[in-house]
Amino acid sequence: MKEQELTLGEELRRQGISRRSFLKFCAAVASSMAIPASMVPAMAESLAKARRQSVIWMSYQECTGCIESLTRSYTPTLESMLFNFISLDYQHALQAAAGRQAEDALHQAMEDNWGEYLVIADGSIPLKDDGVYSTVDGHTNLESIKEVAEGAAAIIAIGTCAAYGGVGAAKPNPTGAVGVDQIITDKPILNVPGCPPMPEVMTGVLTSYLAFGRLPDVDSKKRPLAFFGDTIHDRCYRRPYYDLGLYAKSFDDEGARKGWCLYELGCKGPITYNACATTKWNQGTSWPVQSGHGCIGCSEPNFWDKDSFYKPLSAGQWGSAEGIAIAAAAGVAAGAAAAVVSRKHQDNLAGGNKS
Amino acid sequence: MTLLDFARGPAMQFAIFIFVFGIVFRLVGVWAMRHKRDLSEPRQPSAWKGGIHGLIQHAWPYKPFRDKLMTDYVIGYVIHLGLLFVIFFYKPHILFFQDIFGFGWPALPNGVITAISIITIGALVIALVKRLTDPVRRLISNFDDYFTWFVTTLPFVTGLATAGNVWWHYETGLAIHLLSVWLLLIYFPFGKLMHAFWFGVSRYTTGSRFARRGGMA
Amino acid sequence: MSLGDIPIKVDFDAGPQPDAGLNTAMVMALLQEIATHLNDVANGGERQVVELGNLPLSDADIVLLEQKLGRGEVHATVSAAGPSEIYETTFPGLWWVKYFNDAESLVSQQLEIGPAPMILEAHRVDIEDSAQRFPALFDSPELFASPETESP
Ligand code: SF4
Ligand code: SF4
Repeated sequence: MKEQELTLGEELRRQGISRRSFLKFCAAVASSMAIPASMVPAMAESLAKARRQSVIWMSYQECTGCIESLTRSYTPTLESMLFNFISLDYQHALQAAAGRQAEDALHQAMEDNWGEYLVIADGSIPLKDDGVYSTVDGHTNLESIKEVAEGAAAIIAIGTCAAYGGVGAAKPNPTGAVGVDQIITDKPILNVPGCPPMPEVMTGVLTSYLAFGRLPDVDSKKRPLAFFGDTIHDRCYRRPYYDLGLYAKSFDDEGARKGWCLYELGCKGPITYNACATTKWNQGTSWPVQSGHGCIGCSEPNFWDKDSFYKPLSAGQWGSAEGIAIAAAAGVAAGAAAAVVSRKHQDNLAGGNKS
Repeated sequence: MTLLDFARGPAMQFAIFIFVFGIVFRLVGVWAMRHKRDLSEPRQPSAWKGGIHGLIQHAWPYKPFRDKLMTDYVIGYVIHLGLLFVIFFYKPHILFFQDIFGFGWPALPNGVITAISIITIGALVIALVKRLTDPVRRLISNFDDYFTWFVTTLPFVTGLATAGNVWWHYETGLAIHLLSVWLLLIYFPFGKLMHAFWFGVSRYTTGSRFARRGGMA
Repeated sequence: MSLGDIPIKVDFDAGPQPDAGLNTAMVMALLQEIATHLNDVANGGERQVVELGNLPLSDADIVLLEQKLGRGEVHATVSAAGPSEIYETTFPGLWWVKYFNDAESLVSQQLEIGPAPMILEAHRVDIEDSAQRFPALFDSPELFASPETESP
C-alpha cells in the first residue's frame, strides 16, 4: 500500500532508474501508437507522476494463448518496465498463490482499490444454461465478470474471445459464448482483439491509461484506433503488387518467392484492422504476410466462420450449386406456366381460329 | 452478421437464384408461346442466311443513318466492351468466377481496368445526357430505361470507389459494391437488360423473315 | 473444404525474400520532410522528431538513408532500459537515435532535429537527485582517506 503513495517516478528513482528510461519507454510506446514523437517528453513526464495501477486479470473460457503471447514477448529490460507501472494483483496462471488464498487475494485487491482497479479479461464467457460451462472456485464466469466489473474503473478485453466471443463462439457455439461487452454495459470497455493479441497494444493501452488518465480513442468495435485504425492491406508492403495485379498462385510458386500479393491465396488483409503490418511480431522479426501466409483476419469478430481462410476475398459464399439447379428448374416451370397462359391469350386473339 | 457477410452470402445466393430463375423463365416463356406460321411462299431457299446477315448488318449503322447514329453506336460499343472487360478481366472478379466454375483465365492489369471503368462511366453519363436532352428519346423512355441505366452504372461507381478505397471502411464499401451488383442481377431478367439475350434472337428472326419474303434485313 | 484444398508445398531451400525492394518515393518524401524540419530548427524552432518505425521503409531504404546521411562528429551510447545508440549525421543538428531492447533488438528509431537529442540531456529530477546525493562526497571525508594516512 505504501508503494502506491509514491509516484512511479519516485519509485523507480529509488531503484536507480533514471528518467531517461521513462523517456525511452515512452518513445517506444509512442512509436507503436503513432503518437507524435514531439509528445514523448510530456508523456514521460505524466507517466512519472502517475501511481502504480492495480490490475486484476480474469481468465475465462480461454486457451492461455493470449497471456503466452503477452508474457513471452517481453524482453527483460524495456518492455518489462510495464510491470513496474502496474501491480498485477490477480492472474491465476502467473501468480504463486492458489485455491482459497488466491481468491482471497482477489477480493482483497478489489476492496483496496474499489473503483480504481483495471480489469483485464481474456477468454469468452458462456451464457447458455446459466453459464455452467466454465466455472472458477464454484462461480460461473458470468457471475465472476459481473462481480469484478462492479468496482472496476475500466475493463480491457484481451484477445478475440474476450472481445467478440472468438473460437468459443464459433459455429455452432455450444456454450453460448459471448465477449465481455455483451454482458457489461455500464463500464468503459476497450477491446484488444487478435488471436493472439499483439503485446505492443497491451503496453500501449496501459501506458496511455497511466499517462493520460483515460483509455485511448476507439473505433466502432471498441478497438484502440492507434493500433486498429488501418487495415493490414493499407500498410502491407506487398501492396504495390496488389495494385499491379501480381498475385502468388500457390504458396511456393515464382510469385510467392518474389513477394507478390497473397490475395488469391485468401488473404483477408483488406478487411482486417490490426497493427501487424507495421508493428510486426516477435520484437519486429516478421509478421504473417511477410512469412508468406495471407492474413486470416484474426482481429475481426466471427473470423472463424467467414468461410475458408484460403478462399479469395472476392469469392462469394455459395456453398453448393444446388440452388442454381433449383432456380433453373423453377424457371422452366414458371416459364411453361406463363406460356400456357400466353397461348390461351393468343388463341383468344386469333378468335378460336387455331393456327 | 456484418453487411459484408450478408452481401457475400445470403444476398449473393438470393440474387443468383433470382437471376437464373428469371432468365430461364423468360426464355422458356417466350419460346413456348405459339409461333405464327409463315404461310407465304418462301422466296428464297435458305432464309437462315438472311438471319445471319441481320446479325451482322445491325452491328453497325446503316449508311444513310450514319451521320445521325454513329455517336450512339460508338457510345454503345464503349459501354458494352467496358462491361465485358471490367466484369471478366479484373482479377478479383475472375477469382469470383473461378470459385463458382472451378477455372480461371488471365487478367488485365488493375490500372487498365481502372482506366476502362472511368471511360465506361463517362460513356454511360453521355448516353444518359443524350437521352434526357433529345425530346424524342425522352418521350419514348420510361422507368425501365432509367432504372436499367442506374443499376448498370452503380456497380461501376461503387466498384471504382472500392478499388480506390475511398470509402470510410473498405469492408462496407466492398459490401455496397456487391449489393449493387446483386441489384443488377435481380433486375436483369425483368427489364431491358434482358436484351443481352434477346438482341441476337430478334436480329436473327427479323433477318430471316425478311429474307424469306425476298427482302433485305 | 478438405486439407487437400490448401495449396501448400514445402521447399526448405527456397525461403521467400520479401522486403528487398527500394521504395524510392518514400525515401524522397522523407528527405523533403527532414529538409523542412532543419529549416524550422535553424530559424529557432522547436526540436523535431521523425519516427522511422511507422513509415513503410524497407531494410534497403534504411541502408540507403544511412548512407546518404552519413556519420558526423558525435557518437554516444546510453545505457538506460537497455542500450541506445545515438550519432550525429554529417549534417550537424540532425541526429540518428536508435533505441534497443536488451536483446539488441531495435524498438524504435528516430531522426531528431535539434541541438542535442533529448535522451542525452539529464532530466531536472535526476539532477535534483544528484544535488541531494552529492554532498555525501564531502560530508563523510573518511571516504577520501588514503590507506597510508589511515594507519600511521
Ligand atoms: S498480401 Fe494481403 S494485405 Fe498484403 S497487399 Fe495482398 S491482399 Fe493486401
Ligand atoms: S496478419 Fe491478420 S490474421 Fe495474422 S495476426 Fe495479423 S491480423 Fe491476425
